[in-house]
Amino acid sequence: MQDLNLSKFHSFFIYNSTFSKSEETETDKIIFYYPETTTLKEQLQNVGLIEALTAYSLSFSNKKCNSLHLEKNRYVFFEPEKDYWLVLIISNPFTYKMKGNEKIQKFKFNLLSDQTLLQILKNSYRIFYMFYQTFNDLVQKNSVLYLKSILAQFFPFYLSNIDFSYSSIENTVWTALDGIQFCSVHKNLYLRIKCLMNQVKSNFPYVKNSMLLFEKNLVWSSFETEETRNLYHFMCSQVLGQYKSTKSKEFGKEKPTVKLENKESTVFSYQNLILGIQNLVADIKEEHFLTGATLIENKVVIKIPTIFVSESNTQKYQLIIYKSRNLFLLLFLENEAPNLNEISFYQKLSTLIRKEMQSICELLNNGQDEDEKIDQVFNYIYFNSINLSVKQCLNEKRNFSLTDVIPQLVAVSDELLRKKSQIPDEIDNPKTQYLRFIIEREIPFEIISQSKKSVWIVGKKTSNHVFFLIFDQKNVNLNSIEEEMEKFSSALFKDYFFD
Amino acid sequence: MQFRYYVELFSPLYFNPKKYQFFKFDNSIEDLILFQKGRIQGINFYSNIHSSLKIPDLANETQIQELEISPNKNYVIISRKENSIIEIFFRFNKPLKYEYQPKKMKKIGFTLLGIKWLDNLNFLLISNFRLEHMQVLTNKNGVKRIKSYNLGKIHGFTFSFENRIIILITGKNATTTNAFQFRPKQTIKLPIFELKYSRLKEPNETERNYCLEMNKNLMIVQIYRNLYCVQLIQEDKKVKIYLYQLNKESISTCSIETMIPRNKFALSVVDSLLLVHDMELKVTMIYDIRASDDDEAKITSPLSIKPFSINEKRLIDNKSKKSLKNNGKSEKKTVKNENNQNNQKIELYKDQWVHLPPNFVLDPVDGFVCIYKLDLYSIAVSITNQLSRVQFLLRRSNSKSILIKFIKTMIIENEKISLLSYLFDVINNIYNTVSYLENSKDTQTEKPVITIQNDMILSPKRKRKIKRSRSFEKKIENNKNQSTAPNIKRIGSVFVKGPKLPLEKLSKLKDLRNINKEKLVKKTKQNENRKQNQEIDLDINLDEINVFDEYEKDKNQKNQNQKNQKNQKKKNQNKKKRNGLPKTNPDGYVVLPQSDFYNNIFFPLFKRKAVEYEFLESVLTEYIRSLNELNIPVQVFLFSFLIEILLQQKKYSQIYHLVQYKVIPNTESLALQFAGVFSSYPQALCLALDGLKMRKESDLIIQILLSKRRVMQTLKFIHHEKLKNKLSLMTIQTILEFAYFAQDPLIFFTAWNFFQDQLKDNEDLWKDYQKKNELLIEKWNQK
Repeated sequence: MQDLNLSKFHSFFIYNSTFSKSEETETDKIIFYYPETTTLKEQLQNVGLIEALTAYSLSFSNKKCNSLHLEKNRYVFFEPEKDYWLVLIISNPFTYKMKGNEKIQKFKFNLLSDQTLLQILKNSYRIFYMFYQTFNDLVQKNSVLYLKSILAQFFPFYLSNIDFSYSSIENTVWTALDGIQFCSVHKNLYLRIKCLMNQVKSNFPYVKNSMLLFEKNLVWSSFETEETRNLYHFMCSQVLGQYKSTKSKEFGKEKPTVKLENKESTVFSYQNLILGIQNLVADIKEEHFLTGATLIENKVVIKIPTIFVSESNTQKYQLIIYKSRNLFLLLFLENEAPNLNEISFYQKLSTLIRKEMQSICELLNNGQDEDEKIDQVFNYIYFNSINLSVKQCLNEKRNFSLTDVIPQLVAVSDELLRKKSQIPDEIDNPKTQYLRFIIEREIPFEIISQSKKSVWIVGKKTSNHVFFLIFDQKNVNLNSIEEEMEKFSSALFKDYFFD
Repeated sequence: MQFRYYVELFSPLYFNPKKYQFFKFDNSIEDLILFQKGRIQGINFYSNIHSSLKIPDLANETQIQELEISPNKNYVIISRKENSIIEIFFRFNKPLKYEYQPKKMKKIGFTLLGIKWLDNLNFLLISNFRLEHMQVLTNKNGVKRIKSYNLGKIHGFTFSFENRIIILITGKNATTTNAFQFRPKQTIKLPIFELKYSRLKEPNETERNYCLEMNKNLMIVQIYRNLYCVQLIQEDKKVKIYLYQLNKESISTCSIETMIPRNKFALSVVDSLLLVHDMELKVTMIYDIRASDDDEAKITSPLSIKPFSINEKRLIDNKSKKSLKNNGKSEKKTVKNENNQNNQKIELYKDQWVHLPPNFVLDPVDGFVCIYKLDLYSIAVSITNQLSRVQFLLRRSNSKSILIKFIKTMIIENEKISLLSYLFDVINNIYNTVSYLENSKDTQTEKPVITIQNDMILSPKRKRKIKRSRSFEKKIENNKNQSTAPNIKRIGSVFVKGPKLPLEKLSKLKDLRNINKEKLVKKTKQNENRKQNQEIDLDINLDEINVFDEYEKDKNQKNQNQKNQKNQKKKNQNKKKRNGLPKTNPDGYVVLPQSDFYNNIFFPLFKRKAVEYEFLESVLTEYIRSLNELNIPVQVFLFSFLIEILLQQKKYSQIYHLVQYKVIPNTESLALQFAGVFSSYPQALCLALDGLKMRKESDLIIQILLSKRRVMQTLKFIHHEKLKNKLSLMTIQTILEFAYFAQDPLIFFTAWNFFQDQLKDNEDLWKDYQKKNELLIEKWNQK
């Protein structure tokens, strides 16, 4: 596996078949294509392929298909809005094989996970929606041309921030699970944080919601789960994508700041916003605003992005991010709240929260070290579908390398998560009970797999929980793995009700 | 200004001063003493118990200077003007005369300054040359001198019956004090301290007047459970209050400068507040010694006492009990109708008013005794700083309802959370000292959490907490023993009797006075007396008191009374048991427990929708945070309430986070609450099931699953938990009934098959289910 060439981004495009009414205007249906250098012919070929596939699959099922596995490439496609399709093409990982004197590429076409890639598509749409709302809205309010220009501005930058290499658990299983990593907080500290948020709200009535992150861990959110997930994803993948924790030695060193394009431009640029925030995150200063009143080159600049937190919540918010060492406070203000352009507002806000934020940060930093010592016996990844909590616990002294395990883990997770949407929702209807029971039997809810290097992976799913357990014992059989599973369940999950 | 009076005269006890040859108010036994034609009548201020003693020898007596009745009212000591003999009258024996002036001293001008009873047998004789501790010998019909203290010239004294402390003013300039505390078996001499200033005797002034003047502005009072000797003197054209805190080993002094410029002033203490009355300007100022100098609550603005009027008809004619009855009724009426024509307005701040510690006023002209009562609400309203106001109210003993009202208003007015947060911390700090009591109640109603984590983390914490609160209590007791005054009363840790009777109790007793249910009151009072006196003199025979009041009544009546009394005693004991510890901490602060907050503040606001739920949630969270930070176990009803508020706002994920971060404990009632809100918040069912699983409540889990008609899930749970063989036949039948109710032959067959082994022993049942199975299959096929 050492000479495995990792998967690579091939292309990404968005099309809407309804925009082309005749063969002459066929190119009109392509709203965005990346890389731009792709020939029009190839673009049209790819679009045509997906169009045909989605239409063809409808004759077998009422659900449109969403992936295509080819030897060299993997296609995933997702329709976030009616007729708008997002398509991602990834080239499969490959190795070189010698055939005589010739070096031949051998593609590993089963190493990628549809679930993960689909999630990448969904995430990209979510972030786009946060800042621009729906494609249709943009077309309705402006024009297709305007939509095209926005997409051309947003996606190249967004895609350049995504790692398609499939080399880490975060990029693979976690993306597929689409969860939130919570920070373990003592109840008193949690109440203290909740109270601080209430105080901010009481002092600044325009603050409608708040969220607190400790590095890439969620501590507090006043939003409901779906909105929290969107925002968490935005923060982790976009704002804190390059962020290194305080524990890493690099922290504190000033990083070279990226020069922003069109600094003076009044038009909102996603790229400028994210790069601006990323520069500020890397800033050595302990406490400052990342959006709102920020200090750029010794000048106070007030810039507040406007965002929509989820498709179900039409409320428009103005986002202020405050950083206190490795603690990030997100405040969501009512749109068009007054005083936001006055520095005094930020001064008042900062005076109110600074001390308490410092003290919370201190406590969290101290608490984290203690917490990490627990749960070190087992190697596992856990997901709770109610609060979307993901937890990863991998023993530092493990005998396996992660790069070896990832393909196996991806395969297990892909299989386990594949049919998650098929369980009927009406679980309380006695008539669907047995049906549900049967479906549950059909869907693999426990997969035990062994790799060539004797690493065992057990994936288990119940209606609210998913977990993957990795055993690195050699020369064991299924029975002993079963026993280990029992031990694991009774040690960590005995207090959960599993159905 | 809306509220113009902070102080009012309360609970007047009337008499006709013209009728009596001698009258006084004895603040030791809280009796109004009236003397007329050889008959001494005592009316207790609080209980209205009438007692009388007829002494034929005194029928024509007009020269009485001092008249002191022993607490059990069996002995009366009388001294006459310009006479060096005191006469002691026994209830059941011949009177006794005692020459207190030594023959050698006759020429020097020996003056009797006062007589004070210590208990039912011991009394003190204070003359300008010595202090004598005397005892009445009941058997021999005589008196015995126990000890005599020669301390040089005594100019005056002040005495506290409650604490049995006497402070004598001695020395050349009348500035040195000698203080003694008389305990049942020992007398303790307290440290000598110098009074700040005392005026010299004026040339024309008689010795007695001078001494009286000395006594006037010196009193022993209890403020915030500490004993103080308070002195009011004029200094630099202003009246200054000096407070000497009486401790066993040392005396600490502090002073307050008043705004009173005149020389005519008086002092009272109500609810640990100093009331300084300017008798000339006719205003009263209230000082709080606990408030810091910059605190708004330190001093109130000078205001007059609330106008006070009496109804002439109400004047007590002690001769007939009938009239007393009428008086009671009329008093009630006049209270209701103050504009009654018969009402006579009383001149306030009269020169003749006698102020007796702690807060009695005797008006010898219009003939009444009153106590000062504070209008806490008006005072609190006058304090504009919210924090000072609440802290002021927390220091008062009867302010709970007012405090609750203010907190409620603060919440309704959306006061800043930071202020409320601080207030909760202050209130809960006080509550913390007695919270372990509620803890013990908690553990009775709610089983302890049995998670692995909680077992490891929480329970030692709880243990520590309880240990801590106990050690805290010990600390309080130690503190009391060490630093506070040698106060005899302070024997039973937190069970300290407050400053006399609380006003609520008093008003109840007043009602009783009106109804004239003497007997009942007498008995309760007697019980109280007994409890009080037991600490001082265990020789007191309760029956003696009984005999005294019911002297002329027949024996049958007496027996009946004794029986009633016993019953009453039992009732009182039960009452005490029910009430538990009084809700005041050793500092005398008001304790607002969680139940008060919930019942009187949070829930009414929630029910009336007086505030936005979001704000109420913030306030409640602050309250819970405050409790948590002080390690006070939060009562389950508060969590239940918090969940309800969050549900109303549809903040479901926050409920989950509260459980996730273990803010909400795992209790059965909360789990059931979660199961109940399934329809609006489906994930709550998972919380409920997880919680019950943690608590190992398998039966409840089965019940909940069945109530949601999840038969297959129930079977899976039973299988997974290996409960199959532990289930009762009843439970199995219930599950099968639910399976039949689903009308799906597959579900029924699965369930029936699952329980085959358990059902096989019971043939009838087996057949019954077989039939049901066939019926279902038939129905299914028809479809």
